[in-house]
Amino acid sequence: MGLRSLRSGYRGAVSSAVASSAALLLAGAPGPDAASAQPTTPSFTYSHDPADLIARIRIRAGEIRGPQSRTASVYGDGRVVVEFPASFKKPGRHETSLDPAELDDLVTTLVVARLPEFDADLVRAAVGAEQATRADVAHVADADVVEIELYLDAYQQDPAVPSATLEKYVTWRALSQDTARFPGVTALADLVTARDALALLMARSDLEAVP
Amino acid sequence: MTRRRARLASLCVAVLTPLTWTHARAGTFSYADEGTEDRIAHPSGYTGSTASLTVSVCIDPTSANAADMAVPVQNAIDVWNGQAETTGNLLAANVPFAEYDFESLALHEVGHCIGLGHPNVGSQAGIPTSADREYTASTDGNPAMTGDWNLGAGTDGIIGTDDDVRGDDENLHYFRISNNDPFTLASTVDSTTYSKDLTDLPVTHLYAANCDRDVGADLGYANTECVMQQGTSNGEAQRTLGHDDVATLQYGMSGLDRTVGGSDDYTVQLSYAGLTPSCDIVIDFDDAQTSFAACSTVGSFLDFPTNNHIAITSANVYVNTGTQMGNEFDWFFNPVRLGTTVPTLPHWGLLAIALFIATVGVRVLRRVA
Repeated sequence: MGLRSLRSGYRGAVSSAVASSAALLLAGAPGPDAASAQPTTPSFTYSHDPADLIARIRIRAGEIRGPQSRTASVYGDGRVVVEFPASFKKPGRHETSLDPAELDDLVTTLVVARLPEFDADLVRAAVGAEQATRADVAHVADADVVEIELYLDAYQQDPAVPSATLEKYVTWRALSQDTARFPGVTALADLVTARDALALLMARSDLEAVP
Repeated sequence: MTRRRARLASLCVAVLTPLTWTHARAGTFSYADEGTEDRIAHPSGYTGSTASLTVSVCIDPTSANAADMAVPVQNAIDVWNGQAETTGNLLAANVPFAEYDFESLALHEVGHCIGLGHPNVGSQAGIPTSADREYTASTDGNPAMTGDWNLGAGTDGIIGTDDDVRGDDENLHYFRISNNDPFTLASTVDSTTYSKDLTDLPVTHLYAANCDRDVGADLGYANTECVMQQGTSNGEAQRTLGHDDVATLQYGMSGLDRTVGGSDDYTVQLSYAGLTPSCDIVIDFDDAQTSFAACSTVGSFLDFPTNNHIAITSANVYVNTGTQMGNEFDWFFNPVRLGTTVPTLPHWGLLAIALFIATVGVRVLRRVA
């Protein structure tokens, strides 16, 4: 079965309550996407193939020398693979599994946080516009760099637009600091939500080291 | 999986742009960036004419490890105040292999908080491998900041040396004009002796060399790296400055005109303010701010509308405790205060002379008696 084809797996229509949350998030969205945003119900499907990556987060601490990023990857069967740097207390590869409900909750969280809609150029423009109203400037040295990937077999935000496969890659530097400095750019807060949901995978107590 | 990875690789090239413009690129000076390559950040208190600056450094008393930070922070302050360039500053010292040395980290982050950036490109978007982070600080040469770096190590194969081939990547690193050797220091540091304009390089050089340890080894300086080079290793201490650290600080001290001798020159001294929540540079363990360590500053322009000079108005060093599940590592807090170590030979020599004089004196007194 092709990667991009719609599978017979879970059809993740977001519930009405979740849709309401999404509408609130959209209402506060910055820039041009805010103007066009409508309170719609995003729908999505994702692969249940154990070999297919659904989501991944990589967090790089700028000041740690060498290949020292922390990574969590989630696959279609709910398998979670976490990798820690060699200098960490629990170095190397660890694994656990999400049950179907947990996996679906995770993907739903990412969708509700509008990760599929995140447009870095638009968000940067919104940041720039807010910065232009301030007399001071800010800089964060050695800030964390977060990278997030999301793969959906089908995603539909606007019912008027046909659903399509989604391969999303987002990276942002100094996300925590930017979110605090530019509270009007709610897309950053949404990205924090997505980051935190995925980063929690690294903190699960049921992770087991894999030789 | 394979297909997804392949697709992502191409996707990365296409969309790897979302660094915020306020701090997208770290350079030799903080705030230097694509389109603002000439920007220099100065320590807190500089107004464009101040002759002498004192920058207070304190530890947030509510911070984790507050008491343990006191000695390392004071040591770092003393080292910056000494402005002494050293070689062989990469040591194991007393740092356990599995731990990160907080004193070395503090030295680096405080450097950021007084305006210094990284001599290397560091962990920027689009830098393909961890080894590539050691290329000399630059922009990617593209106003859209698309991350299309030109990273060629040149014929010597060593990243960060003077034969690197960097295409249109615009250099941000101030090099010594006479020799492009970051492990030496000119007697006067200003725009007459240092430049980031590649046309000022020695004739055979292609790019500004940086003070990475491998570059140092290639030039004959073993175990040497400047403190501001991004990247801290576990089990390693780096508690004294490199030549380039001193040069960069002193370049900033040449003021708005970048020339030593003007009325805009300044000197800077750091002072330890102890455990208090308010000072120019506040150090705090705060897991919400960083997964390892960062210096967060706010600044204001000194030369509007040119905006090539910024004075830092507030600064915070944030450090992660390393105790959260999913981000667990250990810090080492050096307990040895500078100046309290075993006296070196000259001191022992003085002591021996004093003992000799005392002994002879006692004998003379006995004979007289």
